[in-house]
Amino acid sequence: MTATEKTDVLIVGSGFGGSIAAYHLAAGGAKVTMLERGPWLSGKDFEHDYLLGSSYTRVFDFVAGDGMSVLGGNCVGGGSVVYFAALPRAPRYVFERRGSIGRRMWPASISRSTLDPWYDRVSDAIPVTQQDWGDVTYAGGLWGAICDHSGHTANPVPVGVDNARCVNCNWMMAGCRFDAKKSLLTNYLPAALAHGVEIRDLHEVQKISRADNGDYRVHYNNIDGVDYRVTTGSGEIDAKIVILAAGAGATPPILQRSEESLGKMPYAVGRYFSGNGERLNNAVINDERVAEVLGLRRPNGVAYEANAIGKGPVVACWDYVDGALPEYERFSMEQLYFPPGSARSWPRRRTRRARAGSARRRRKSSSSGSRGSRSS
Amino acid sequence: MVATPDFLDDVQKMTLEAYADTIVPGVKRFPEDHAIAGVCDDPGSVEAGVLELLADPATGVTAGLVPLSGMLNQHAANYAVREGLTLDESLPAFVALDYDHRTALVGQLVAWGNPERDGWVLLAQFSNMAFDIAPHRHTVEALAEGHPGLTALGITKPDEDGLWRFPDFSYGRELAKRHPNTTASGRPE
Repeated sequence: MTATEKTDVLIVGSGFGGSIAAYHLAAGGAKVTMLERGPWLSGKDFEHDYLLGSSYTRVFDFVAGDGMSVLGGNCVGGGSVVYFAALPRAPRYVFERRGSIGRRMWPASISRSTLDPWYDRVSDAIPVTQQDWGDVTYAGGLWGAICDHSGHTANPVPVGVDNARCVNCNWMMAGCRFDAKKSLLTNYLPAALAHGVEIRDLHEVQKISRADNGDYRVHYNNIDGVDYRVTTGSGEIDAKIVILAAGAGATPPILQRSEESLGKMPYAVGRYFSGNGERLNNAVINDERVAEVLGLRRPNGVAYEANAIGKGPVVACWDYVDGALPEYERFSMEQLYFPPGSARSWPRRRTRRARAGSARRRRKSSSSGSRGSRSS
Repeated sequence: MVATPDFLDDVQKMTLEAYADTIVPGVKRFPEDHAIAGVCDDPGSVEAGVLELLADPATGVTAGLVPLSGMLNQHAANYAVREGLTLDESLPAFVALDYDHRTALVGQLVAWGNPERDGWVLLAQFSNMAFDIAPHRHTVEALAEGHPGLTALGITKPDEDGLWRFPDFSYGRELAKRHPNTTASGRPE
């Protein structure tokens, strides 16, 4: 029988929640081990391919649950590998929100002012780039022109993208082939590795218990690198500190499975979920009207025809980002090319991919066709 | 032509094709093509390769195809009785329905409250996926073969190394006024 492995800090998940903590703790001298459910991929692994099993499916995990389905990053770097890298700061009023009994909902110590120094630090590390109109894609420019024509303002959005490297391929949800998107694979994780952090991919944490000496004991399964439904082994690691950063969907069940050893969890664990706040609306672009009404022309003479060109949201209308408006009437509007695909689930309710989208074509009886993918 | 799975018999293939054609309709492949209703004048999910996709074990639905096709024909037969329709007995019941009736039945199958809903929604999603992204093929190869969905979506051909790059990407001029409460670093206050 082999002795259980030991580490100072065991971090579950290598996304934004885990990686930044991993770096700071390791830089401070702790022995840090990270367990990540998904594979460890990098630039050359990120493909421009919708084929099942390509990076477009490997970097995601889709869980079709009972009442809630979760699509999340499933790889070293987590959501940062698949995100659209639009990084505006939350406006001041967000933190002043009061609930139905009039109490401020955020802890008193958290406000835009107290967060700004931390925003600054993360903005330097990622780094976040302020864009100008010359940086924004045709889709962003079109959205800006539409906002302007309808009497609204529009801003180029701060992004975690190195525009000098970006080729506007629009494949950023499959992971960035060109290291232009500033995922955690390009900043915090290399820094964490330089300070000795050990990252183990394809390790899915099941539960946490207590060891006899009072340490936490983290129980994991090894996951097959091709079919994430297949378990290839299991093990345990003891740690003085455990940081659970497995994502909003995966952290609660780990806690719930740990109740036998750790005790009853608070009532809110596994409840009160929220979507990520996005509503996606389709836009069908009429190129002739883009030219006539908005006066837009590309160098090749066409007005737009550029839905496949670009990256994530690059231009936003912030006219409704206004604390003076009623609570449910505040929002930002951004353009986005949402890659085609379709959410799907597995018989065992676990999958390594999913995307949503649809295309509709002209019926014989229909005079006006539409085509396009989701956008927001 | 696209490959079709050899574990399905002709009735099962036709039935699943007819379901996919209800989701993303297409043009008939030949005059006596019963599976495709023919309400569209260009290729749809069937010609996009839906059966090839469904046969890929990575979809997780492959083992359910035979029972799903049988259930679909049973539902279609029951539907015909309810609607007072007389079906061509030489065809699978669902295939014998015309497009509007196929659509009405599929609408019932994917409706909230139907205990079988998840299975029919999955089948509809794969019918869409086959057309939208052809996940049973390398995208570059599917495009080169003129895949109908990728072509309809306007996906252009990539560079020689199979990667997409768009050096021409921006109008390059100011197209709106910035929000007055924008901070110096370009963020909302």
